[in-house]
Amino acid sequence: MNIIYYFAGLLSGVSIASFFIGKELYKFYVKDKVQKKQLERMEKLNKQFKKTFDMEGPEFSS
Amino acid sequence: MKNRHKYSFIFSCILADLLAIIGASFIFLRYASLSDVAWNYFFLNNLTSAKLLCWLLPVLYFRLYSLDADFNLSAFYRNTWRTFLAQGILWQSYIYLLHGTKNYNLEIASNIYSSSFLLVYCLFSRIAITYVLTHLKRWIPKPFNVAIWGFNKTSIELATQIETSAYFSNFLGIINSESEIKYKSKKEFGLVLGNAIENASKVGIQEMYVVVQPKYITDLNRFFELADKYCMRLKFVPDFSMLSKGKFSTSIYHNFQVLKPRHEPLQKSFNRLIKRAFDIIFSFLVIILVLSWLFPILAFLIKKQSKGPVLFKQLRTGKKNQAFWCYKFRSMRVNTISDSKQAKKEDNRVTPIGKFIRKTSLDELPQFFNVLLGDMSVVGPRPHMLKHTEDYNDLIHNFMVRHFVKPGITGLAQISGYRGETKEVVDMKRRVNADIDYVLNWSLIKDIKICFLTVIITLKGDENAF
Repeated sequence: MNIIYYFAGLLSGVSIASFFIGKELYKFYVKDKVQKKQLERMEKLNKQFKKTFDMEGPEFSS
Repeated sequence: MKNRHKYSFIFSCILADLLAIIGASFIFLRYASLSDVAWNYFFLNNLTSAKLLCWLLPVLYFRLYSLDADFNLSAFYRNTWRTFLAQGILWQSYIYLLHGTKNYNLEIASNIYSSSFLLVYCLFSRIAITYVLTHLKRWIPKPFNVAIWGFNKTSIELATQIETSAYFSNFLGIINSESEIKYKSKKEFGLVLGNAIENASKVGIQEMYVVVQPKYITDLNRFFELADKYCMRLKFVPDFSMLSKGKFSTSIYHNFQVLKPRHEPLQKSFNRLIKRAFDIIFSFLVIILVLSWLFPILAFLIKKQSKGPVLFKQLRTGKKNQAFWCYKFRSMRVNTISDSKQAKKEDNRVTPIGKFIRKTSLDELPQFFNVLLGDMSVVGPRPHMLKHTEDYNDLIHNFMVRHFVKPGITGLAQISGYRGETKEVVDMKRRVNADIDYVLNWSLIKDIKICFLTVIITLKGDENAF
């Protein structure tokens, strides 16, 4: 009986630890993926701004 | 369509979780007879319903399955462990308190097996849910296509936000990669946007966010009507990134868009009501259970060691920058500079009993009367002397934001180690930032957590308390 208790305790411990570690890792993975994409877009926008203002910013009229 | 899949998914989660709880109750029942515990018949007959109730209450409280809001996987994980933990606590409390069963303990087989089953289920079900959510779009034959039109800082941030949580719709990204600054007139811009709406409908986009600065739009309704014609939902997001680098909080007052510098949960009257109810209950308990016997003892010792009153009262800055009398046990000899000079280490104004009550923060206990009077709250930014408020308001630009809520006996800054003397402005800046963080992210759970951590820090002994 003690071995089964030990096994059940081990399984519970591993499950809890895996849940918390897994959720943090997944959060990190998603954040990393999304932020890389955001950085690429920001870089592209920055280049466009530079290009436009280097050629003297266009006057916007209504 | 996206809601159909969302609801099917959430109802499947609810069903799976309920089945797991019923399974756990069967396991409990199966092994209950093998233990020496003297179970009563009522408990055994209503075991499954009690277990389900212990599950449903935390589910409702933590809003595990939010049908009305956007599905957020991070929040789902967070609420999952909170719900499972609360379920376990409620279940054990139910057995201990309502049944007072003899020989019952946590180590009996039924407890161990049913808890292990639930924990293993919690892990594998959440892995399965994550897998299904991330692959759902590939399995749906006609996904709900969403896109953004407009290339600027706001649209990039919006795209990031949608990409993080677009589980039930197919987000195509930002469909134009040209910034609007290249358009020379509203007319030219209008033509390009009109064409974009037409092209978007051709490629099957069902919902499109148009993110541009309002100055480019002459008649927004014209674009809404055009989108209606193509059976597409058009949403306009004004880009204010050129106006301010900071972020705004928006709300709707009747039909008016209101921009605010920040979102404050305590602006909602219901939240204020909850906080007030917590303050009154907590203060009554402290006054009845602690101050009723501690007050006479401390009063006797304070009076014995130095001349003057038992309580020290000082005008401090409260909510909305209004002064109020803040009460404390007198820890110093009566002096004339108490309204301008902060206490410091080895301050010779402090009496021996004063040193003890300051170290243990017992000098703050009379402030529970301030809480009952409504001047203070149990948790909130610490109230400062009027002179300090005036001085720091000139030095720190967002100093007065902490006065949008009632001052507290303890606060986030105090449990974060920013209590005591502020020698440099940077010390006060850190404290103010923690206070503003509290104002922006208030919740009742946070208040309870701060109270709990204050007790622990006080028992451990805070080196900034002197």
